[in-house]
Amino acid sequence: MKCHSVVTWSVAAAVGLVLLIAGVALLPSPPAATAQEELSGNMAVSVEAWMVDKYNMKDLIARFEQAHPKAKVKLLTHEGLGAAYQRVFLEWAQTNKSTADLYFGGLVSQLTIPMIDDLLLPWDDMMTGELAPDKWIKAFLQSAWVAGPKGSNYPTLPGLGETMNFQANTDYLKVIESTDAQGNPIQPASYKQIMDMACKLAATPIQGKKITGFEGEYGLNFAPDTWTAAVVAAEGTYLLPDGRVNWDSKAGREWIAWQKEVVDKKCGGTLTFTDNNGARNGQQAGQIAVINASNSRSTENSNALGKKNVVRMFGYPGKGGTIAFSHQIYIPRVAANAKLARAFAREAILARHGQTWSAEKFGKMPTLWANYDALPKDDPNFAFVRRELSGPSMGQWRYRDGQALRQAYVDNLQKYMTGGQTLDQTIAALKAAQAKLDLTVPGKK
Amino acid sequence: MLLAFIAYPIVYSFFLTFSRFTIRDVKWFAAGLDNYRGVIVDPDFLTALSFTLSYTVVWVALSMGCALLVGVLLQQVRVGSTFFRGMLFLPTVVPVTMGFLMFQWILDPANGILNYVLKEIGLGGLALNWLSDRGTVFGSMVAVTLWGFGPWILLLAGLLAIPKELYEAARVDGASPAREFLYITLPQLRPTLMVVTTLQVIAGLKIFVPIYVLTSGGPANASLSLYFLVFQKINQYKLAYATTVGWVFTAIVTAVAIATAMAFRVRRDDA
Repeated sequence: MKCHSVVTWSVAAAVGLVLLIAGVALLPSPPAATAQEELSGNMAVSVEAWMVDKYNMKDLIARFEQAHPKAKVKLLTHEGLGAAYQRVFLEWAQTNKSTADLYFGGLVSQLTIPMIDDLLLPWDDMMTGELAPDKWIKAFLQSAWVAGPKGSNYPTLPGLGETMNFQANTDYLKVIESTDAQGNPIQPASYKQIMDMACKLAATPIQGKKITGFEGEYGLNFAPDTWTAAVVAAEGTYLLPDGRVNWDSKAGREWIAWQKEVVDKKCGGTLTFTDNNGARNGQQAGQIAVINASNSRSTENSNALGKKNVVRMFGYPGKGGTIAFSHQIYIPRVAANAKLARAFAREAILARHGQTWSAEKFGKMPTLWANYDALPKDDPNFAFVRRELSGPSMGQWRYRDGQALRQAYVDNLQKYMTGGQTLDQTIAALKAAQAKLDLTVPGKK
Repeated sequence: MLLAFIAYPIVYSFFLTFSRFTIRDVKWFAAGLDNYRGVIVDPDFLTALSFTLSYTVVWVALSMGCALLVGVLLQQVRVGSTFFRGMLFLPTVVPVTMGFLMFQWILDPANGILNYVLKEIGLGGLALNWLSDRGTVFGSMVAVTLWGFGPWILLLAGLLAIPKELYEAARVDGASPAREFLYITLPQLRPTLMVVTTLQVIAGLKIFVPIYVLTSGGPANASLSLYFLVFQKINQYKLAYATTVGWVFTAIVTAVAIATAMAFRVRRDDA
């Protein structure tokens, strides 16, 4: 009886186990399959016009739609002007609607107002795994970080990064023996050395023609960033303890004075007083030896000159720091399909055919280490930026009236450089302009 | 339709000039006259006003003078007149932005064709920084816009509409070309001159595209126009302030345009 009972119970248990296994197997699909199904619907992504090509956007969209056949992504473009951004911000804030669900482009200095006014959906809960903060290049990520309450520290994410430094045509530097054994520019230890280099280049006929030794950035595009980069390199920060810009900085004064001197000595040009692209175009035409702009110019201008890495970089004299800034990715809180937008953004950020591809073609740097590590290790320009990013760096200033402060810097710099005011008057004018502006920064109220 | 697209934005923007504006909301009439006070004491506004008025005076005088001269010469041309008239029409059909980008290349101090030619013919001393020097940018803007916005076609059309019989009768009476110009051409052209001058004054005061393309208002605000200042302030997210500049600007344009038209009317009445 006992034996029969044991056998019966054993058979019953075995049948039960089989039924249990079969039951489990027949349960509804696991979460992964559900997530796959959920990626459906329509979304619009608005991209700053120049980024469509430079972030390989059409390819990113095609791949996303192929991977998620039920999802449709419409590509829109917007201009990088404040006027265009203002229209977008107004739409979000005053109509509670957004033409696009996801935006690519815009520097933190342009996005301060929606950050302050809490118009952007935080990315914080997505910052795990492959997108955990330590997976990002710190210099780029910190420029997007906001001291907000927990869960709202990342209203934007850095999409493509850039650093400020000097870009030199090494074919020309070789003529004046200013390259090292590897063909890289010899890092100048002082601004006097850069001046000597520029003047020598301007005085020496190269390939039978007279060239411009140096062209700075004196327009709205980059001028404030070259000042902040020079100050960060020498002093570690361009801010006072209370958060205002330190216009009295010794390095800042030196930088402003140096820019005038290089022009006065006719070793440098002033194209960028009126043409934001003057320095880039001039170097691409082989007419300018050294420019002072974003690192991306090295790759882009080398490609334009038809000789890989002929344009290489050197840093600001000082302790090795610079300004790192990035083109942001963000979702308005009022987006109709934020879920799909986040999924698309995640894939675009992680994609090698986005960030890595862009670096190789246009020199816009990846903001994730995984994408940076995929770049050729022997490329001198990528190696330079890697070293630069491991040092101290800061992002652009982020004030509510930050754009007005940028314009004030450009106006006063140009006035000084054209003899309209002294250096002391320039610094005083900048301090006076700053005092009148709203310097509210994003973050906790 | 008229209310929605014209009246509403005008009234809205006018009220905005007395208000405080943020992206989130508008505090209607909270600013009182503060925006107007801010504009009047703003050095950028005064710089832009000075540039705009000087530019308009010089450009209108030159553009009218040159167009009249060329028109009168073409009036006399018998051979190849279609070709020359076609040339005058060219700036009108070339997209204006493309035309100014072409001038950016022509005036480039290092690579531009103007400085190249000057150096080649031994006038290297005249090869200047045409657009990025405070001393030359004004003249460069006037010259470039003579090409882009000169009233060539309008004045030529006016000249060609003058009956030939008047000139023939004058010649029979032994009138010199100068007397023909003074006593036939100018009086006959007066209605055209009135309209064209008024339009040119308005266009001069509203100069924007060449500044946007060529100088961004620089160097050191030396080519900052009122219209460009409005654009700059919008880019700085200062909408109420920009609107106030816009309204002051509109008032100036209206006043100058009316004064120009009145000046011609008075002269006609005198005549």
